[in-house]
Amino acid sequence: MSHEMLSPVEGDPAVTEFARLARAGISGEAGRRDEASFARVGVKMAQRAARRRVATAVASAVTVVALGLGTWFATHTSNITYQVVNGAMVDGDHVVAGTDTRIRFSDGSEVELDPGADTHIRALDEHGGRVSLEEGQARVAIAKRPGAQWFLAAGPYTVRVTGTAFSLRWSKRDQAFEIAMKTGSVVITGPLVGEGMALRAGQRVTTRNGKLTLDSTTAPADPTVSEASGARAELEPATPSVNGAVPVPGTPAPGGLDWSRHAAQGEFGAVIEAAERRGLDVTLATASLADLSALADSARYARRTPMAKRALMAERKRFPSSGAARDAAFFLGRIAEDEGSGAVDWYDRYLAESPRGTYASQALGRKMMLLYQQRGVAGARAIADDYLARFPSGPYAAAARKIKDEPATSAP
Amino acid sequence: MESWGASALAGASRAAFAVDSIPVLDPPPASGVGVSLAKADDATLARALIDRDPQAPRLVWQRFSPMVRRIVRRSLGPEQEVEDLVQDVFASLFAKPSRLREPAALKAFIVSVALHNVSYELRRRRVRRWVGLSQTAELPDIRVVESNPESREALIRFYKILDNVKSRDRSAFVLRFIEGMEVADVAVALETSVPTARRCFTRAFKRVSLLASRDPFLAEYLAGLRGDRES
Repeated sequence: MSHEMLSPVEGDPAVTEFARLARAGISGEAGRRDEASFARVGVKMAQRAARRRVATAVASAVTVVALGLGTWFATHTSNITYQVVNGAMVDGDHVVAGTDTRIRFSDGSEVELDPGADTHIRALDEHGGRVSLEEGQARVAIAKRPGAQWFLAAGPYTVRVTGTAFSLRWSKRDQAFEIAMKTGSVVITGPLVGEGMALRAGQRVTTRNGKLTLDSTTAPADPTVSEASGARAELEPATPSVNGAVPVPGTPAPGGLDWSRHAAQGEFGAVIEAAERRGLDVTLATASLADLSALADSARYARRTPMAKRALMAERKRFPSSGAARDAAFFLGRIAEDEGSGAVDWYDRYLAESPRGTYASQALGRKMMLLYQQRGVAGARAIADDYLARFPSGPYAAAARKIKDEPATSAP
Repeated sequence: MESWGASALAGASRAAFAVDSIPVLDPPPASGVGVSLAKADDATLARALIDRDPQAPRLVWQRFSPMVRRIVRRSLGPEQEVEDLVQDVFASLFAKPSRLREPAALKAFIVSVALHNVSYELRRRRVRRWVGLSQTAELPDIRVVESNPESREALIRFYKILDNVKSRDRSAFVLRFIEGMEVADVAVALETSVPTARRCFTRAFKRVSLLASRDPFLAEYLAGLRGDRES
């Protein structure tokens, strides 16, 4: 300490006095409880150590969680992206191929397109995507990843892929589909393959004029072909193909009619006629789900109610876990409503099976109106509440509000 | 973890040591025990602290707590709440004595730790003042040895002025003009260079001088002092 070094202070009376007052008035003497104060130092050290341990534990936990979330998000939530090499993007998500055109996806998958091929990238998510080959030929190599889910459509056929390589061809003009497996396995669905047909490396499937041909250079066709194929083979042997075709599942009516396409084009009569020509019982027992749906739709629109009911019931009986079977419950409800009884049961069944289904709003609204007609406000009010809670902007919302506001005693 | 800790909740008379790898502060030394260490120089005491000599914390406390208490009080103002900060200074020191690289610089190291704590406390008070937890950041109980009421008021006003000085400049000012430390020691305590330390306390000096001249009470108080001297 050197007070002679305080020369600046001496030049200012205020600072000099301040320093004097502080030195004189504020000392460092310990109080009477100095021993207790020293003891408190130890307590504080223990508390700090405990806090550090907790903080370390929390930081470790946070780090683990953050790392876990980071990994999870990195591997699960970033949607796959793609880039097109040597090709033109049309209408936002169509790729029209030139020479050596490739679509490279960020998960390592690649689609190589032949010149003139038209591909539509319909959707991409973190697991895979949906890509449609609208026309032409493509060689597809899907990267193997846990949870990968790719769907490649070619015309009415869909190829479900988890990690494989194959070539795919679709011709709109000829309505011809071809898939040739290189590696891995896929499951294809479509008009001629019923609920699905598994293919392995070395196998080739072509469909043309209502006939499906399977060529196998290595192993025989996967035995997991849908049950319908067995039935089909028995009831309606397929026309042998030049390469030793196997019996095909779910072949539609002779003549190569695509029932779904005809139904979609409003040619209900053609579908009904084909089914009748083939025999309704046989059709209901053996047709593919797509054909049954097409027949049910055609029959409903053509007011062939008994046939529609049978087709819908066949859907539910033969393909009980399919979405079409669940939807059939709603359509059966509509038919029952027209017939005057049983509709509420069908709507309940539909709502139980498909609480978030396409027709849930319709089913609940129609049920509400039926109950209102049958039992009045008291019978419909609970459904009205439910409807408004679930579909506040739905087509029956206004009716539901009226029912809610109506006095309980009022009759419909 | 290598540190002293405390099961001293029951008071400093507790004599336990090294419980669950956290040694507790030692009890008061029995007669003759630690006498040689008590008379040792700072460097020896520091080495004992680093070597976890059970008597070292108490001796360091006894030797340096008055200085720390004084610096903290003179830095913050004449208030009662310094004991908590003083304890924090020694808790930091005892927890990791290995941070003390030069045993001979024990005193400077302790001053440096004390200034860090003071600096933190000043920032905390400033924040509290900004967020309105305390209008003036003053603590109500003032403990000043000065018995003259006018001198006492002057001291309080000086510290209000010091509240308008940056914490680093304030510490430099206190060490240089109130504690009377050499510029080089101030620089070591602030962990900065001598020129920077000089700039710090000169800035504070000018600001205190300016603001004191604008305070009517202090102006009158200082005029009265000049009158007394002249008469």
